[in-house]
Amino acid sequence: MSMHWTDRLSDYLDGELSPEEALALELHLESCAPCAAALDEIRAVVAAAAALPEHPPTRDLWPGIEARLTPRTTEGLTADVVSLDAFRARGRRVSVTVPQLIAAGLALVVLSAGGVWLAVGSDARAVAGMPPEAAEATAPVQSPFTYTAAWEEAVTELQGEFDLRRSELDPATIMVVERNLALIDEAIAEARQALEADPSSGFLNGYVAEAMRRKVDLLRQATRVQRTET
Amino acid sequence: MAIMGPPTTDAEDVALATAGDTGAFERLYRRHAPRINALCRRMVGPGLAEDTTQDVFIRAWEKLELFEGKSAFGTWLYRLAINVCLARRTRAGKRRERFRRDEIALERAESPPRRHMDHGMDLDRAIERLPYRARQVFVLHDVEGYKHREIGELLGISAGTSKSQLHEARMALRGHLRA
Repeated sequence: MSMHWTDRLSDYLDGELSPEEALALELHLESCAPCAAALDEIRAVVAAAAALPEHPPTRDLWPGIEARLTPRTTEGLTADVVSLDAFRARGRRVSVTVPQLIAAGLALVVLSAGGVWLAVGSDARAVAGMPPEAAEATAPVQSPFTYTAAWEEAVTELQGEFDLRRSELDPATIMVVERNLALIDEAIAEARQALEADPSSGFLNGYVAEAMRRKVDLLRQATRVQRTET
Repeated sequence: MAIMGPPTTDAEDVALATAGDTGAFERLYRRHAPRINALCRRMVGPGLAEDTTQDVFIRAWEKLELFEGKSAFGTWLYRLAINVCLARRTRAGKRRERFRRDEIALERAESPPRRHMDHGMDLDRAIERLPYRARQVFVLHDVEGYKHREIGELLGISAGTSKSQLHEARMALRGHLRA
């Protein structure tokens, strides 16, 4: 059994060898029973893999999924903005409406990477030096953004503004913002940890950048509400 | 449960779900959960599979507005699921991988070859024992039909590395499935 040829068996099976290499391997197989047997075994593995069954979950996952679905409030966001004005005209507090606005805004942030990116404006792109193309839905963490120090600077700046004016916001609003910031920070920390272990991974870099972008978007929306309220 | 009524297609349910209809999204879940859960099980292991499946559908709901219908919904969902599975990799996961590497080395040395492959379940159990990277490449290539170039892009590795990991996985698995 030749290790040289054994290592080429998968390539042979997958049609990855040149015609000359394939012919040479076939000649070798005629005189090497162990290599021929190994090829048969690999072929059996490949065939079995292609025929693997589905695995339905052992329990109904839907109730848990349904409980975590963010209501679609794209239409409602506009309505809330209008009702915010209406509430103000009537002299009512906005303690209920503003958290809803934040929550709806966050839903939009999460729902629409490309859309929100455009909605937020080109300044964030300038900060990151990123192209304006919308994220590909088919590759949600194949982010078009790259994680750079500019993201950190943007977050620091916005976080500072948010902290500076937090007393102007209703406690319920702050709670919603901070809860969602914590979720995003958790994702960032996890992705950074993985990126440290695998710094050449474009996937992980994009994942961190995507999470940072979400944080920037959320902080932007929060500081906008602060400005609206004052 | 909102499953009653006339049958609907994925495209119809995607349109309804995008507008906020959770009943339509539940139908999408029930149609695709077995396949997505199988993928998660093979990519992240049985212990994390169902949590990951939940995450996939929640992320799909969040991203649904970005689905343009250029591919089948199932194809889009599948790609999204792969990304969610890959994002699950943590340092703890790597520690487990090292442990499993030792474990599999022992198993190779101690276990006599199986007389025959009973069912896909046997192969699934063997896949779970593969080192992390080899398992990802094997599942994506031999189970899901991705090309080495695509796998390289997904995992951040070269096509050559993908090929060598695939071969390593197949060679390890043949010991479990030897006829």
